[in-house]
Amino acid sequence: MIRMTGVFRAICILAAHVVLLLLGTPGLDFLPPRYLESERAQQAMESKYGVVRTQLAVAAADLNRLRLPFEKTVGRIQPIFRIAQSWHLYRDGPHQIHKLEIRVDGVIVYRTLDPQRAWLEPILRNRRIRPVVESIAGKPKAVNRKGLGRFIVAQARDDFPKIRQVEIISLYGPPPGERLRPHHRMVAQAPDWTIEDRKP
Amino acid sequence: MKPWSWWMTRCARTMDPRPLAWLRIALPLCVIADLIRVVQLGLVDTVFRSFSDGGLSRVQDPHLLILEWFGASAGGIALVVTMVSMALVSLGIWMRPAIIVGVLAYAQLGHLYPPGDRAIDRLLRTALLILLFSHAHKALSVKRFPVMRIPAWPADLIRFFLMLVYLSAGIAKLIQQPGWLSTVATPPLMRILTDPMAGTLEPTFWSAHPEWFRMGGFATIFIELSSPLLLTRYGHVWAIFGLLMHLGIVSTMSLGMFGWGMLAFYPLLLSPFFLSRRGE
Repeated sequence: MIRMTGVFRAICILAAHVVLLLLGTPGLDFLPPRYLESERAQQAMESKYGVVRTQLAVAAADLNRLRLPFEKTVGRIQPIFRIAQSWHLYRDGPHQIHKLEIRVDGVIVYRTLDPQRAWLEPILRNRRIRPVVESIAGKPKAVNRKGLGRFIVAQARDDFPKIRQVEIISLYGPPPGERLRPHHRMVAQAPDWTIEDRKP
Repeated sequence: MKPWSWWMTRCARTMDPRPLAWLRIALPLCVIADLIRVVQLGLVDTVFRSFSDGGLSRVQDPHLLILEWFGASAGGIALVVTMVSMALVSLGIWMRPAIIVGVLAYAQLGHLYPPGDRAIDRLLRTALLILLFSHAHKALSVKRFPVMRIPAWPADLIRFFLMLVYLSAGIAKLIQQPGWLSTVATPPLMRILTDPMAGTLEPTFWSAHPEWFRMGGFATIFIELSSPLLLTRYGHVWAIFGLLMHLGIVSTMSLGMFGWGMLAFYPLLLSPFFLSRRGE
């Protein structure tokens, strides 16, 4: 009986390792399902990177396609606990410098990493808000721009009574970022405080 | 020894309960501290409400259930449930039910506000689910247990999981950005650490010193790709380098819980330095 329990435990533990490995196979989990599936895609890669690298990449893509049915069945438990893994941990940094600037009635009250203009700094750099700030600074049509804009305007109206206008400006430029210029912006004005996208 | 006999022996190993107890205490404390910070900044109604209820995010995950059950106050309820559950896990009281309830509530917070639920949250939830099957509550807990040894396989599984995380990160870096190994290209690590959005290093000053980042990039790749050492008797030696990498991240980037959450695993990884390996 003790022996059977030990065998059962060993099988379960092995299964746990296999599940973790298949759901987060290193290097494969970020490949698109149809990556290098067509002859044309393989030939295009071969002409650019040579035969050996292409064959290795094709083998990885094929291995990933073998793994995907498992992910689509057993892996369906992951969203319940929100544990689906995709471990990239910073593959690269941005090639352009982006910053966010906030102006209240034309006065700059916040600019990313500027200690002299640090209004809302603890909030905008909090790890829960920062990804949204980053997205808004980089993309004119970021999906949560109106939500963040509404939040910033509400905070500004609380902290600076009698203001008439709040501007949220995305700045960008080449590294090291000494010459940044506006890329896109949002503006809200009294009395209705509706947030509007504006060109720089 | 045949592979299956080796595996059976490995699965039957026991260990001092304290390393898993340290993890049981540290992981929930990271979650609690992170959520306290959200409360302290007055962000609960901003991040844990849907856009239509006055929150920030327009996007919620399809697995979000609590919004239907509790309406606009769902986020606040899930936050309290998560914090209480994590406190119970940390204290070792009703550890298993508290992990299940806490992880489910914590996941619902992630479904409610996906932009702020990052890789570290997923990693902590996975590790907590592994702890669910452990006897981590049998040491350093409010309830007294006789001095005993506990099964070691959950600790091994967490090491395996961390190995996957680091190895994936290393491989993804090399495949998608060959600059990590270049001796001439702009070091990716410099772009990461001098990115004003997440890094804290001043780009103008540091862009004149790419060699430091190049060496740091090589070291990062070396550490991540050598993470299979975690599964060997040299795992604790590897952990020293992993620890230094995370201390570097904490001091040069403002990623919030990421650094502390990862560091919370290191008492377990470094435990052979502190405890005897008797019986393992």
